[in-house]
Amino acid sequence: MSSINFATREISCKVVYYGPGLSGKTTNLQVIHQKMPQDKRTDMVSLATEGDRTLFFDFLPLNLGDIKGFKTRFQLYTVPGQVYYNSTRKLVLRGVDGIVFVADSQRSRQAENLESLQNLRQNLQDYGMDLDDMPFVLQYNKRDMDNVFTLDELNAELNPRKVPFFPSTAHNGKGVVTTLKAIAMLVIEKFNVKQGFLRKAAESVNNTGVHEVSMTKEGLSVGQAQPPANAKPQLAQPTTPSSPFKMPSFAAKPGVAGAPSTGTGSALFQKGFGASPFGRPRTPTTIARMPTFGRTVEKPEDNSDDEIELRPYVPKKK
Amino acid sequence: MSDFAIYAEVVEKVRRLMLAYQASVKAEYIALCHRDGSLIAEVGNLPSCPEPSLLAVLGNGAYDSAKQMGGMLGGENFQSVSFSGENRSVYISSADNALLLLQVFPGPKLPNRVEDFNRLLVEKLLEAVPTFTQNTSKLI
Repeated sequence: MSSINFATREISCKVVYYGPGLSGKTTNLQVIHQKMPQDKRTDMVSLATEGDRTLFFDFLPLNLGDIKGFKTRFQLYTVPGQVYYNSTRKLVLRGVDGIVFVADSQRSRQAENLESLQNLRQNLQDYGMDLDDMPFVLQYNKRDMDNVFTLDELNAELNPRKVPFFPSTAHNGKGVVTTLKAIAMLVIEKFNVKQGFLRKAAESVNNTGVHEVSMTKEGLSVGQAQPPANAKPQLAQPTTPSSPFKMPSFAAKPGVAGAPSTGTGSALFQKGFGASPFGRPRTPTTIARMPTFGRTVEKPEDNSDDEIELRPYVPKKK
Repeated sequence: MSDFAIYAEVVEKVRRLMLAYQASVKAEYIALCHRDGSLIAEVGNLPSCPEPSLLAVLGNGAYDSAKQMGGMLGGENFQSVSFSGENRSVYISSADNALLLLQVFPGPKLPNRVEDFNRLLVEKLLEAVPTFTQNTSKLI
């Protein structure tokens, strides 16, 4: 369960690296921490034993750029892999948005992989979640070791759903960032799908564009595809079997550079245009990094559990 | 993913309550955190902590660990955990199933009757912002 914070203009998503003990989950986070530019990360926190085995979790917050003025914060966690730490693993899984299962490719570790995957399913079920319904990728780690399974063999055992999988050698960084990009993409796509209320807001200002969020070296970026003539945003776009988290059409046509923004042409998640996300002109403001409590976003009047409609953003007059 | 949406107006309300509370208990820093580890609102500042979201995450971890310990020892209705250091004291309490209040006080001792003050704040928070107890996870 990620949160969207209109006060700080942040979207938080939680990604958990899961897997058997010593499969390389913490190493993944360490490599990401080393490779990320300084401005996109802060310190990594490890609650570990003296032997560097994860005791509670490792935590690494990442800023992956802005989407239409909202900072995207990915919170990366690992869990302790040892079987007897299950209660801790379960706690870390609460509110998870995406999971990377780090499997050990060695033949001798196959039983641990299967047990851990089963444990993951069970723990998610205890929270009322289904692994098949959430962003999930597999990472086959330790590909440099002797006596490893082939990728086909690993897929046959661990990947009946044919989710994305990535061979890796985490200790030298191979495959680590690719895995992170893949899970971040899936989480963002799922996030877009879940933003029913944002899509309704887009519809209310006659948005007709189709945008795609993608990962680049700089972070997240919003690309743009040509919408068909008279295309309207889909509120409940069916997903295709090949892509369970298909991007919905919820964003607007981009404004023309240099032209005055009319509001109706601005994308929902697009940076740098003069209009608010919901079509009204926005006064230029600087976005503070931490809570800026001066902002006002009007709450919907008809607030029910089933439907939330956002009102246009109106800047507070000084 | 908008399972939990935090509105600026709500944060402003929360912040006003927390500021009043901060003045009455002389806290150095107060944060309202979601149980998934995200920070909802904060008042005060801790110069030694440049990343408040870490506090939220570690506060959640500390609370969950203590709660597990309490559960193992037969405790029920676990509500808070506190830590007293040489220069600062920390009090972490549950504000709702989904929320935690993290309070940092100067000095090695917590204020007297911090539990009572805290209970009052929690009541006011939940009263002022009923959305905290609403489930918004049915958006699609």
